[in-house]
Amino acid sequence: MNDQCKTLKTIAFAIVFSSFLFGTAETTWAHDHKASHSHGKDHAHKDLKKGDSVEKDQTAQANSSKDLKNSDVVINVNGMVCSFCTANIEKRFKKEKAIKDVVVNLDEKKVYLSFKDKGSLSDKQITSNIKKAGYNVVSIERN
Amino acid sequence: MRIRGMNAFVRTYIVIPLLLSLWAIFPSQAHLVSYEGGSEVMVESMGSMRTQVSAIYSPKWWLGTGLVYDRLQSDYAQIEGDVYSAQVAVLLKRWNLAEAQGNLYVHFAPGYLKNSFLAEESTELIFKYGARADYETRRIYVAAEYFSILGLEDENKNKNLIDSFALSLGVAPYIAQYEDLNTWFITKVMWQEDFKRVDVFPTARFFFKNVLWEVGQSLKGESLFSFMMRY
Repeated sequence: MNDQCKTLKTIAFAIVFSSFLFGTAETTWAHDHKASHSHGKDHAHKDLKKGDSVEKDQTAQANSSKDLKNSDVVINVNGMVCSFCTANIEKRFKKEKAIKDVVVNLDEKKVYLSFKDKGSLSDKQITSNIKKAGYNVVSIERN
Repeated sequence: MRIRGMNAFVRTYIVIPLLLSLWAIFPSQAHLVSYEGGSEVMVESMGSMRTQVSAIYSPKWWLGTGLVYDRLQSDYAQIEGDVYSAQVAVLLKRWNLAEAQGNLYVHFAPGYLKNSFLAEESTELIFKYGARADYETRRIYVAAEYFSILGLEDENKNKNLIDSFALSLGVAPYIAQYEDLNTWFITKVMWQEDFKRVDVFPTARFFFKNVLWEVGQSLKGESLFSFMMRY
């Protein structure tokens, strides 16, 4: 009986905790803006202030998407379903000296690369890095 | 996250918990390989049943090699003691689909057991082996795993000291983005063939960037905790 109570408490806690996360997730969709940003783009949503609406932030995200479209390479990748594992892609590319920035977008199933000045990677190198991270390249677009 | 046009309060505090309570959820064990050149460390405790610590390095994206320590209890196995092994995991096949990924692994690990079950502590060689298949989307996760420890010496020679099968099913209550905290509710059901024992572990799994942690408790009251970092 005591064990059952413990289990029920655990499940209840998990549900309440997840509900809390779920309920707050929309407002944190664009991540904590005080937290460090790995991609370093000129984000319109960097200017989001406490009290600004979610809609404003979503507009900012749309703007940031336009920024992403200014990246040097857009890679369409299959198999990106888990951010913990997809982080492998970011880690692989960040080992390349030519890479300035890597942005992964799970919704679009795309990886955006920005090169340092005079830096570049060939399609073969890009495909190799994606493969070594455990994924498959569908297509590579250069801007 | 993706349910639109629904009152946030109703959705958050009624619909989702109700769905979760109806749908037994299950967990994703960590992948047995990392990425080419990647490493990971993991600690997992399953109450009085088992504790495992491992450090894995992947020289290839389809290969994981590392050292594993298991602390086994007699409730869980026909042995009680410490197992030290060198593990090799091979990703036999990966299906990278547009909206999903599937994996098929085998793993094996020669090692030795310091058996403290008997009055007189003994050391013997063992061989761990198993297979695992999983399939996941951004919303659901399913995995099946078989795992065994084979005794190689003395009275345990050719005897399966552990022989277990686990089935996991998980669901993500919201679709997390790349830089969000990810949450999964997972239920893992484990069968111990010899002991005819069944353990059900409802757990909550979280990961953020390269750090993953999981908490839960079996219906028999065994607590579960795991932590993993990939780098």
